[in-house]
Amino acid sequence: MEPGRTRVLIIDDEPPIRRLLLNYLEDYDEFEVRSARSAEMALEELRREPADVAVVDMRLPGMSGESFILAAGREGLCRRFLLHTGSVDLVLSDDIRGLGVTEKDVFLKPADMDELLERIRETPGAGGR
Amino acid sequence: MKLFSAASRQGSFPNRTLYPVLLAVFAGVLLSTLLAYLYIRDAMEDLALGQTAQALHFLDREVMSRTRELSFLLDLWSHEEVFRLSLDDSRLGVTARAAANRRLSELAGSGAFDRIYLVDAEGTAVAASDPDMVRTVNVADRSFFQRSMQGSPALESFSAGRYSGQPVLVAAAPVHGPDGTGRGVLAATLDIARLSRGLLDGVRIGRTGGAYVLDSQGAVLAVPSWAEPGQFSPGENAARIIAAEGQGRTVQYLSRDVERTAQSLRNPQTGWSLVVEADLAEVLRPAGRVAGLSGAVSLGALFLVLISLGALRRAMASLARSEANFRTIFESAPYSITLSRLEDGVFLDANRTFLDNLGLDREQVVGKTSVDLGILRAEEMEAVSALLARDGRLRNAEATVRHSDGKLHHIIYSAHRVPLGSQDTVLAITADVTGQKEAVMQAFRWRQKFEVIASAAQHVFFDCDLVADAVAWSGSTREVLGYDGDELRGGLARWEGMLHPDDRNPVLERFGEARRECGRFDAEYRLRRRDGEYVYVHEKGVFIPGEDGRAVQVLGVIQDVTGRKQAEMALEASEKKYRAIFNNAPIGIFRSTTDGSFVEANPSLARMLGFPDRESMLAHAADLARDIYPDPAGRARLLGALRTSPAGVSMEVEFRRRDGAPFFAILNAALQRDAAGDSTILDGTIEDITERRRAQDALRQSEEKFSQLFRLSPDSSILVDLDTQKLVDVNDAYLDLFGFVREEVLGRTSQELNVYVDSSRREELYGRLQGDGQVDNFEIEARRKDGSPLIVLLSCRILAIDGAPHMLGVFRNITETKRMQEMMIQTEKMISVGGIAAGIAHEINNPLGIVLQASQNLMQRTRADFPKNREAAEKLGLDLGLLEKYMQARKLDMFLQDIRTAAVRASDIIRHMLDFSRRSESKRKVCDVCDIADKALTLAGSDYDLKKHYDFKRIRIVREYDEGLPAINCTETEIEQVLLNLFRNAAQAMAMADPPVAEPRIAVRVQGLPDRVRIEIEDNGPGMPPEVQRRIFEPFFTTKPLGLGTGLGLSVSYFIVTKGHGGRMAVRSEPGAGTCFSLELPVDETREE
Repeated sequence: MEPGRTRVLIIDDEPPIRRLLLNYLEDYDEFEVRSARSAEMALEELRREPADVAVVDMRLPGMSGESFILAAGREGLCRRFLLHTGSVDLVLSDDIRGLGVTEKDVFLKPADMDELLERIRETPGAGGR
Repeated sequence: MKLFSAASRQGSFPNRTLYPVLLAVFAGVLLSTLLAYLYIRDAMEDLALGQTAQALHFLDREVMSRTRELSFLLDLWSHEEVFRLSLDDSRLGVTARAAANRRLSELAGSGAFDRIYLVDAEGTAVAASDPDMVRTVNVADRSFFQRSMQGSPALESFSAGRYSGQPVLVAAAPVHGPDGTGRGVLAATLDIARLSRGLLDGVRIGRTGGAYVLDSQGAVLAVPSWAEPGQFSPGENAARIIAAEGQGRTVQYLSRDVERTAQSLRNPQTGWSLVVEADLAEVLRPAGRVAGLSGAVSLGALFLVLISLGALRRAMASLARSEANFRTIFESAPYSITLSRLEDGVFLDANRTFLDNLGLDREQVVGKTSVDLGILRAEEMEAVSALLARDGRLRNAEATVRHSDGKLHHIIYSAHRVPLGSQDTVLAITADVTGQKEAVMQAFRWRQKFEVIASAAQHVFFDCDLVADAVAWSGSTREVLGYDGDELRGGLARWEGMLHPDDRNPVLERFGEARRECGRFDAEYRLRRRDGEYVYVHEKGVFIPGEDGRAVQVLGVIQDVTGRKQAEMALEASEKKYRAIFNNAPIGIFRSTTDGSFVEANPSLARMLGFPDRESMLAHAADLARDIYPDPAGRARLLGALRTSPAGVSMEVEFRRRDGAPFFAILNAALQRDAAGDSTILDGTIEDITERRRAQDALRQSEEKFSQLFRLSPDSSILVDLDTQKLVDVNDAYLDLFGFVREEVLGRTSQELNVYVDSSRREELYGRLQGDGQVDNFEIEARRKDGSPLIVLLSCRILAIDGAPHMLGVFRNITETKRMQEMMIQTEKMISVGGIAAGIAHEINNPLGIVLQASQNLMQRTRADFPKNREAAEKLGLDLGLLEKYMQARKLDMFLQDIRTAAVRASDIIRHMLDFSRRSESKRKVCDVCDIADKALTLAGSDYDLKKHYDFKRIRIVREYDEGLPAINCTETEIEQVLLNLFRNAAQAMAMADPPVAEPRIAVRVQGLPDRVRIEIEDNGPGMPPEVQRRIFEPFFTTKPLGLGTGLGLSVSYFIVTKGHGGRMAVRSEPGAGTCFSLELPVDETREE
């Protein structure tokens, strides 16, 4: 793990989406990218090593994306959460907003990865640990 | 024979004086024998004369009766119309004469006459039973013709007829014209020989005696058929016979050396001399025989006295024997002989024949008189005694005696006054002539022929001999009474017995009256038939007077009138029936005079007019016009109408009851003409319609009420005649709804009015109405008069009005409701689209994300300026610059871009769909609508797609913004999106119009309304047909070419306005006249924050 690089965790149950995001971000050397296919596995991974940014699919088998965010936030395993979702009825709950998540952090599928990249780069203090 | 016994008993002598006594006895015997002979001969002669006279008398009566009936028949026929017409000179006369010929042959065929002919006023035969006689026979010189022409029937005999040459009897009767003058004569001829044969054959006296007929000149007209030639030919003695006729004396003459005795009688009808004649010897033979026998006995007795002297005892015995012989003669004579006292008529003796005939013993007779025994009536007895006292004798008196066998016998008797000792006695000899009389009557079988004729008329003739109380019936007795004529034989009592008990007294009274006056008897009464039924008969009879002027005979015709009588009774029953109807009919029936009084009225009318009964009404209503009409003009009106149509009028009339209350009636009346042809009577009926009228009034009021209801009803109502489908009536609401005036619609069909958009709906409506009788809530797309659309619900029923089927229909205008409904359906559709989109968006977005990101990765990893790419390429020895050039040369970069664009578009669609279900209140804020509109216009002008297809700058934009518009609460971006969408659509439509729109223009209006703001976007493009307008807000509905429109723009706009902002959105368009979208947003204070 190289210091100064932003640690990104991608959580999505659909492998192509995980792979495409992973490959895209890996092209930029500034990120250390991992992926998980469920919230439970993601929490496990984060407990092993926390991340700076988590790109979270909201509709997941087992634990939901929201529960994951709240759990990870509570445990301090990740600083920032970006929501990457196909759902249309997404409403940001106050709990999530309490973790600093705003509308700008919501990316509806199909999302432009360039925009996603910009938002990740805006993450303050990335790699500043 | 007391005479003899009395004489013999005088001889009482002693033996010593025998001879003188014997001599005296002898002289006495001789004298008495001589006396007896003379008396007996005289009596016998008288008796024979009496018989002859009797025969003559019967003959005369039969001839009279026969000829009278012939005259009667002829008179009957002479009144037949055909004979009167035959005497006409006209053509009718020719036809009539042919008919008369036939009729005359028919009448002659019946056998009463041999020939019948009709002669005209000149005496020439014009029609006859025998065609040869027509125009050949002329009787102008005959007296029967002349007398008949003067009007009286005539009867004349000829010894040689003009036609036959034989002795004939001619009967003639006048034929009268309609004015009563004689036009001609109907004459009938009968051969006397044929007529008299029956009459004469029956009269026979001994071997040589019989009857014959002489005419007034002494020529023989008829003799019996059994007569030998010359047997009855008096020759020149005829004049003597005729001269002595009717005087009751005989004429003796020599005929062929034989002495004949004849007696004659003149028949006044025919002028014939009826003669009865016989050999004198034969007539007197019985008298000679008795006298001879008597003389011989006397001489024998004398001889014995002379021969047997001294033999007194024997002489006495002989005398006694002689007396016995005389008694034997007395007793055994075939004639009744009686001896009676002159002074009181008491019988002294009577012989066996007399006693046997009467069935009495001598003791019952002796000491009695003829009156006691019922032989003579007291006055007859007195007349006989007076005659004998004056003349000493009586010849051929007639009487009727009922014999012991119960039969009535006709007798004639002769009597002589005989002094016997000190007593005046009467010796009477009686002969029974019943047999002869019957023989004569039996002979007249010609009657039967007459009866054949009579029966054709169903007439019964009767001939009653009042003196003998004998009635002869003939004609149709069997048909009318059920008896043969012979069965009815008997006296008048028989007829009386047949009379109906109710008729008996009046009939007998009238019969007696006619008999006393010797006049005519005309009566209608009932006779009991053999079967017990009664027949109605009409009898016409005439009494014929005898010599003393008293009625001795009745001739009558009895006609069966049962048929007529039954008809009369049926008429009476019918009258009774009609009277019952008259009295009980529920309507008033009356007859009144034109002057105004009741002639008759029934009880119903009296009740209607308020009277207790008919009588009090007739008494009260003296002047109808005043008493039963409220105003006399009422009756004047009726009379006027009747004068116009006398055969009958029917009118409604107001009457006044007795209590003054009005009473309405229908009066039917007709004028009746009286015999003079004047119309003074009117008949009619009166029907009380007061109740009916009240009901009609009530009905009319009710009708008015319902008519008002119909007219004023807020529901549009129509009444259609189902047969013609024409509108009969409509109400104001209908006129308001459809925009017609009443005159335009009445009498026309909805087809003609062009009300239906789809006329097949109209046919369907009528079909269902005919099938079910009613239709409810039938939806019709209709047009107003100005063509604007209407949607109505029609409910209708079939009603019978005046017997014809009508449709009553009520319309309800549901145009607005329908529009609302359509909008609601629209909204529902969009909400459901939103629901579906929400459900599938996630599933679609994931693959879209893959497509988009994969294309991004592809583009990124083929870039030449990307260090990781160069690093990897160098390892492989690939020149990235070349790869980039290759991709550009082969347009791979564009393909990647296309993939990316498509993924973005697909995600846009999903996002739009999601808008339907998205609630966006949180984004609202107070905005200025005009600003939003301007922004949208600016966006439209710089829209990539718009530029791509046409130049938005070419379109003239007209802004019409109201001043001082209220601010509204809305989501600015959404309204901006809606307006942009509308501008884009307008511009596209105008650009694609064929032909292109010359001066494209878009008007943007913003108007402030009390509680909302209206925004209108109007273009002058090609417009839209109605079917497009209807679906324009439907999701996925688009008219744009494939790929240019999603079909969601307007539906999302509609959703945003109506659902998101509680406003309204509508479109108005006509093909070729542009389109105008209007949206209204509410000014809602509560939404302001």
